[in-house]
Amino acid sequence: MNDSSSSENLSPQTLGESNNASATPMHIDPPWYRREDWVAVIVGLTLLGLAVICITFGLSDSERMGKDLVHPWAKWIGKPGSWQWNPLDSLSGMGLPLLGSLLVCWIAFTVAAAMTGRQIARFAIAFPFVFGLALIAYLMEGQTTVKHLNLSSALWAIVIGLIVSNTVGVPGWLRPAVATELFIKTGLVVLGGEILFDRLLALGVPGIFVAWIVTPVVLITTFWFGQRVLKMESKTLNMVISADMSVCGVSAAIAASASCRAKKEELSLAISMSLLFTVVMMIVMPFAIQWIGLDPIVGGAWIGGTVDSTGAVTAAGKALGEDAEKIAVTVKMIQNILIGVASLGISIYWVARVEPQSEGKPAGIGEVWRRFPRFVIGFLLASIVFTMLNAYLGNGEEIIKATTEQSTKGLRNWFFCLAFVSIGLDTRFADLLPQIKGGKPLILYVCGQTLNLVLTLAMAYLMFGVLFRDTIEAILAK
Amino acid sequence: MNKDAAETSVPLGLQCFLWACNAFTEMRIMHHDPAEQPTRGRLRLLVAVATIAVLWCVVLPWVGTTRYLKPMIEHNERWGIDPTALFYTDVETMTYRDNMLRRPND
Repeated sequence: MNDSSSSENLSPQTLGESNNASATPMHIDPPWYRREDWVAVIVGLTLLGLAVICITFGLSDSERMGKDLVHPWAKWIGKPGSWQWNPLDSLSGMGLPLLGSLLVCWIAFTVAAAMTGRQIARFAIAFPFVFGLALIAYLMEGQTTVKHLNLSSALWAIVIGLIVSNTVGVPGWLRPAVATELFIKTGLVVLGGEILFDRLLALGVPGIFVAWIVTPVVLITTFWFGQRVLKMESKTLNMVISADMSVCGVSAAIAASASCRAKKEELSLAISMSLLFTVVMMIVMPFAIQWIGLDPIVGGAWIGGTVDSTGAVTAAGKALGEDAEKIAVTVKMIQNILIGVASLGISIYWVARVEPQSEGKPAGIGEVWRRFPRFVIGFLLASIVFTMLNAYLGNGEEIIKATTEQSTKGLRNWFFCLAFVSIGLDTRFADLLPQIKGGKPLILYVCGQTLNLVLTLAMAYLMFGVLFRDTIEAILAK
Repeated sequence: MNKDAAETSVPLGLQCFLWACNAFTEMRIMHHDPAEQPTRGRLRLLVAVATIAVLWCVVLPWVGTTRYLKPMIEHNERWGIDPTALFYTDVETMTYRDNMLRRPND
């Protein structure tokens, strides 16, 4: 068996919890409420709950039932803005949002650290420095040229962490706050609140076909191709690249890596490749679509189904016109919703098939449950509860929109940025280089993306250009 | 065994590419010397920080004013497009209304 996950995933560098627990024969499992997955679920759901409570009880009845609500946390949560020549420009007027973000992250993760049995004082002292590195990553992202090339903070957070860890090394006092798993899993639970299942029906059948039929086919085929044709040694790397390339880039890579307990350097590699290819696709695809004379609506659906990042989809779609942009972003939104289901599917496949297979023992239901990453439950629970609140709460759509867009979205972005800084701090170049050995990850990405482009174009043409053309034109004209 | 199997199942061009990648990676790992000497580590950090400062404060701002990138940046800024948006909820200028993401002024 060429699977490396059985042995490598036992190292402390993985994103999982239960495998770490089983690495030492004498290890005693902590009670459920001290396990990192459950702590992430508790902290994430508490933050989501507090955000909804604050807007529900923090506004008067007339304000709450109105349009364009302002969440009470809105002025307290934020990230640096844009700048061109002077980085200090991006900090102007951002004192309160940055201070608020620091305080919320600091308190939430110090509580989480205490719950997982870490030393609270050491964590609390080290955390602001990790936050400071994340702030630098945001400053680097905010530079106008960098921002418009779609080179997001995820990449720069990893780079900053790598620079520190590979030059002066990570000092011992900073180590307690390097908590990648905790930041990622809490971020994913909070992200769950943004996955509203009613959005799935935004474009009706054609949207579902492009975003929910082609995407899983590409994901499974790319994973199969990596295992059977390229013979990739790491199944986890194979899965993270397949998910990142087929679903929705960075956010899907994060969810997939946590679901299959990929190594940190594998996530770094997948994200770096995704961001770099997205720059190329964002610039080339609108030209290619105009050059071949493709209908803008079909072109928009093609862009939405293939370009990884939502921001790049917006930019590329807009280059084709208003209608193409709307179709592209809406297809991408429907695809975004898929990450909850993809995360659940990958988790189940991994604990039921891949891990038992690599250990040579069968997996009963009890074993599957023991291994199942619990944060996925919080992730889906948040999604289901917010979908229901959106549908049934009085003025639910406005309340959930204000909650997610003005408060939890900002926190989720900080959590992921902290996670990427931690990944960089925990990675040495020597760990990263073997991942690209043989060039197989690159070949996998290129082959998978080629399949994605061909299948999505065929489906987009069939659905948006032929079968449902009238329906789509009616929706656009509304 | 898997390596052999992989090499026999891919075309010659790909095999050459794989071989080159392997050689490059092995060479980098052989010469990798993590910051064992503190002074060398601090010097490397200083060089990295200086490089980033020059790139971000001089080179990248200039690149953004060239005729290749300036039109794209101006177009995105005119329409409030943030290409670094991670998720659909990060697309601030678009709002979910009438079953579809639209600009508020549509």
